Amino acid sequence: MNRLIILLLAFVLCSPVMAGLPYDTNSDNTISSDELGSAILKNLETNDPVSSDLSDAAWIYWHWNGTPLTVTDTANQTIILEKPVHRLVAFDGSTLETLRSLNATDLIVGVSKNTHDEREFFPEFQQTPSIGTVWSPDMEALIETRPDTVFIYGSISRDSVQAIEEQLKTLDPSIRVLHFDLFRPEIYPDEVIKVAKILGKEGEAQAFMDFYEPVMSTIGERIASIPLNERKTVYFESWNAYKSAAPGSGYHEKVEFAGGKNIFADATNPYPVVDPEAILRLKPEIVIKQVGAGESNVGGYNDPNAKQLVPVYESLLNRTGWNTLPAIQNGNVHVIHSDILGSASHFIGLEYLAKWFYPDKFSDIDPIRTHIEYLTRFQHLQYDPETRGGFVYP
Amino acid sequence: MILKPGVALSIPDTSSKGRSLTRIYLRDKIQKIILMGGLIFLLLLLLCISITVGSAGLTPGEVGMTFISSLLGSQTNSYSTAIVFGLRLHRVLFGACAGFGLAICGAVMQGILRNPLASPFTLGISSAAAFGASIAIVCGVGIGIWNEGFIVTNAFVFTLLATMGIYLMAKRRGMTAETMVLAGILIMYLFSAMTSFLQFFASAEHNQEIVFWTFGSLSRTTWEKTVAIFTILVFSVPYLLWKSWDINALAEGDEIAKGLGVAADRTRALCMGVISIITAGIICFTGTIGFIGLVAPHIARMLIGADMRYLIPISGLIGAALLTGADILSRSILQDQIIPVGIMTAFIGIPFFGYLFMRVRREYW
Repeated sequence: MNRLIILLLAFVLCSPVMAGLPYDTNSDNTISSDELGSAILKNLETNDPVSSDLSDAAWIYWHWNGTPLTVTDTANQTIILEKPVHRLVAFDGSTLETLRSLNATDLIVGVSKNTHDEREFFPEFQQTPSIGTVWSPDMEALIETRPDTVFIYGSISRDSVQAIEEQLKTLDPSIRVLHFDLFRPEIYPDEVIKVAKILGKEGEAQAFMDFYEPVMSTIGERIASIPLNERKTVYFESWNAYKSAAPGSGYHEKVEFAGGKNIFADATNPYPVVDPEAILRLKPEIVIKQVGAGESNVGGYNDPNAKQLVPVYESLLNRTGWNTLPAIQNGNVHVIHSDILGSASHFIGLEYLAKWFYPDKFSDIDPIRTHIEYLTRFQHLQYDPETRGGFVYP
Repeated sequence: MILKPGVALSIPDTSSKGRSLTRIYLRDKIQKIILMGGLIFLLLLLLCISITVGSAGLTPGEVGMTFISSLLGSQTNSYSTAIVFGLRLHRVLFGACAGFGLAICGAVMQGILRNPLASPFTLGISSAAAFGASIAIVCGVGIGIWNEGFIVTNAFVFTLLATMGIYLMAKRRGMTAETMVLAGILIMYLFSAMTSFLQFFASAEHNQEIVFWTFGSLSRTTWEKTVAIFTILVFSVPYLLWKSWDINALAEGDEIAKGLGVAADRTRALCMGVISIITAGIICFTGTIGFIGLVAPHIARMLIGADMRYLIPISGLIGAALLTGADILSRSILQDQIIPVGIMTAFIGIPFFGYLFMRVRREYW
């Protein structure tokens, strides 16, 4: 407790006074070229080292046209930023992954506890301080990282997020909390653009979008040409046995985006635990099993090869009565890891789904190539998913 | 020689008072046997209904035809065979066995500990199982059947550890009903706290899994598990019935039991051991289904009194009927989904228990 109080005092004393834009001498809420120019000349005259305020003013002038940046985040909260981000805490892996795509990882001062478990995918963050998780945050560790900005979920785990925000407001109101999911396909491009604007990484965002959007639009356009009544029926199973997905869940949206017709689209809750008999009755043409957590905590980047996914696949084939399913009879059962379906890499998983659902329409698409290019160009990882990791089977 | 309740009444007596007592005893005995027959009929009826309920859309006729075809060895529809024999029948039978087992555990526990609140759930045995399962869920590696095997083994082992803990503490302080109840409560709080501690550090997915496990569910039954629990019951129920005289004596207090020649401490310890094996065998597969073990014996006691010779089987039949009824509801309320049966047992048992509690005038405890 004493440690926390000392930290807080130190933090409050060291915190810059947040009073509008730096070097906005006429207080018109804009750093004009004259204001910036005279500040730079004055600095040159005095021969002082460049102050952080001056470099912030130059940064704002360059990236935000000299005005504060107004952002409406995914939680529909509007926040006005008057200083650039220097020290950023990311509460989840998807945010961290996106920041890497934007070449912005030098700002990261704190990461989620789970990031330390992903030693193959986040090797450079293994020594970065952990701030716990959204559900079990370590507030002392968070404050100790002295962040000026925190990125946290926008639409999920609202209670936990709110509790963290309230604590942060009490501990240090100058810390800016921004809400972004950065894993949902329907808002991902919009979120990436906003994050890039906040961090001054518009160029990197454009390069990434030039890669991401053609992947998604190819899937969308080709699927749109398939009449609804000709779409394949799909049983999607999450990490735990018989736990499916329905409207309101990201996985339902992904199945439908890839052209599947979810057999449990009428379920009353987003993650229903379904009756095994219902699967036999509804006779799905495709079965998709997701692994990566819960009962099926196998595969992913840490897996030395795809062998861990094989027993999962075989256990599906051996389920009671499943030999009567068209999916089994036609060899349309697939296992996929949540690393490439439930995260910022969802576009890779969506390519796999679309190709599994309609192999003829996507014969020219090679998801493994997309995966390799993404890892090499945007994640800056020397990792070959063809020979390492367990992502899909078969 | 041990004086056994009821034996004196069966000695032929030429006096009119003796004949009257014999008639009352016989009438009482016949009533209990009729009640037992009625409960067996009710249970069979519920089992028949249960086998026809499900999301597969099979009509009762189709289910019947599947049975007949299988019995005659003729060609069967693979779809209906998979549904009836692969998914429903073992679940239904497991549910009945689990309800029977949990109820007799509660009845015997309440008898030997002379406490109406005693049950595997209230005395920490279920908490220990939940902790064992939680360790496996949070720390477990592996998948599918192996992961499940880890959960089952852990739950079983911790259930036995909890009983051993209760036994050792009670042995040190004297093997009385009071010390065992207090030791049980201690164990319950200890394991509940340890489970909460684990949950605090667990991921959201693991927490979800732990919570689901503690709901109690029949969704993961298999023929192997059904045979396992049936085997445990086949060996343990006759033993408990054989000991029912001694448990009757214990229920009257240790002094009376010792006066009647019953080795109170030894009987209590042995019965606890048998109960814990039955409980462990059931809840390691289902998760914690707590309500049956507490309420089924009370319902039985309200109906037939406290004579363990009848209370054990009748509690068992009521428990089996309650769990089978709850399972029917759990598979019928939501389309294509199954509500964990542990939730439904309370919904189905409380109204029945409440009705009897308010209406039955006799002093049953």
